[in-house]
Amino acid sequence: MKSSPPQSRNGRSSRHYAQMESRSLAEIVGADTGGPRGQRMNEEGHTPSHYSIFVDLVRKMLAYDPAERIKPSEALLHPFITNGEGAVGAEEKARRSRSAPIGQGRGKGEGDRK
Amino acid sequence: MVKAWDNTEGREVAIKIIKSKKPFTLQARTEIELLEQLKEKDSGDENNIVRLINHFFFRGHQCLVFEMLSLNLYELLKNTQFRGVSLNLIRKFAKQILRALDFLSQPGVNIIHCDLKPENILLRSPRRSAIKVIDFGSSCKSDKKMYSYIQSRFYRSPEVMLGISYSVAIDIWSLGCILVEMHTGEPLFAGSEQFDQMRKLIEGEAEGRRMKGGRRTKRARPAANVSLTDTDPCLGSPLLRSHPSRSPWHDPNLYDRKIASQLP
Repeated sequence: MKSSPPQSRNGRSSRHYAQMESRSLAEIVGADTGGPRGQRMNEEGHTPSHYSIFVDLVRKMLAYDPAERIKPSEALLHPFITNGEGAVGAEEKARRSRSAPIGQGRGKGEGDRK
Repeated sequence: MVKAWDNTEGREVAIKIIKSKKPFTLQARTEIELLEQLKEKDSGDENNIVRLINHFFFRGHQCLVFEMLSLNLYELLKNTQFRGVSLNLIRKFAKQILRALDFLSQPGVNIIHCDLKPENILLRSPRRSAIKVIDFGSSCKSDKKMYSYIQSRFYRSPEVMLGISYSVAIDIWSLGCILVEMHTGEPLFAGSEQFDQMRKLIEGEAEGRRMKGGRRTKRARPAANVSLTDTDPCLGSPLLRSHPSRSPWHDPNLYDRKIASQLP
């Protein structure tokens, strides 16, 4: 399914693309399923809540529009990086409870979020 | 690169020996200029950027002498049998790389790395998490860009693929891809060539849109919210229209070196 040459793509094959499996970032990292291939199940620092914070940072780094992409200085203050340390961490934590990180979607891990 | 012993200082060093052809020598000149500037602006060596110790010519080869470092992050990943490293370790790496990128993006420095990837992030010593960013051989000042085809494919940002104006933000894109890869063990967008790379990015967008209307209705709008459709402002930009040769489907495969070794 993957191997036909790109030059031959036309209107018909764009449907073919749509059928190809695409996974969300949360699914790729296994945010709700114990990490990649489930291998981080029950491991400290790898709860769905930790994953949702990680996914939130990565999504901001992967904004298509470079103007909207997170800046290094902003990313250094992101809760994934500060991990609840120091005054900045506490502030970010408070902010996080007001706006839930995107990329989690299922609302399942919401309860874990502080 | 060769490993060498510095007799005067009594330490190991890494020497990058440049091909004795003019374009390579010229490119190395730029690299030396950037590295010396970086050293000057970061006199305390606090920003996790490789230090150029010295440079010289030997039998027509420009040689760059660097501090000795350890494994790169791709080799580290390989050591995990591509199972990936923990989020805790990724946090430590991310913090240091962000510090380097923050430094590079400061107005007085203003350098775009242009080739951020696991191979260009090195552990300082084998069993510690301290890292350094290396290889400024494709880098440029953001007000003096030399090339439009830059970055290794898996880590190439949408604006570079589209051949439109780019900035320090391209390095953050690469970092996002690297962080995921360090955890899963696989490149996030492993395009087999530029077209395929673009398709993989667009699939990511399609996935976000489907989720808005699908079962994941609670999901917020994806952060990647600029769709690469034909109504996209990027594709419609006068810059792109006036440069048909910069079509996103045209890939001279520059900077695709080392990719083969990454395929499983």
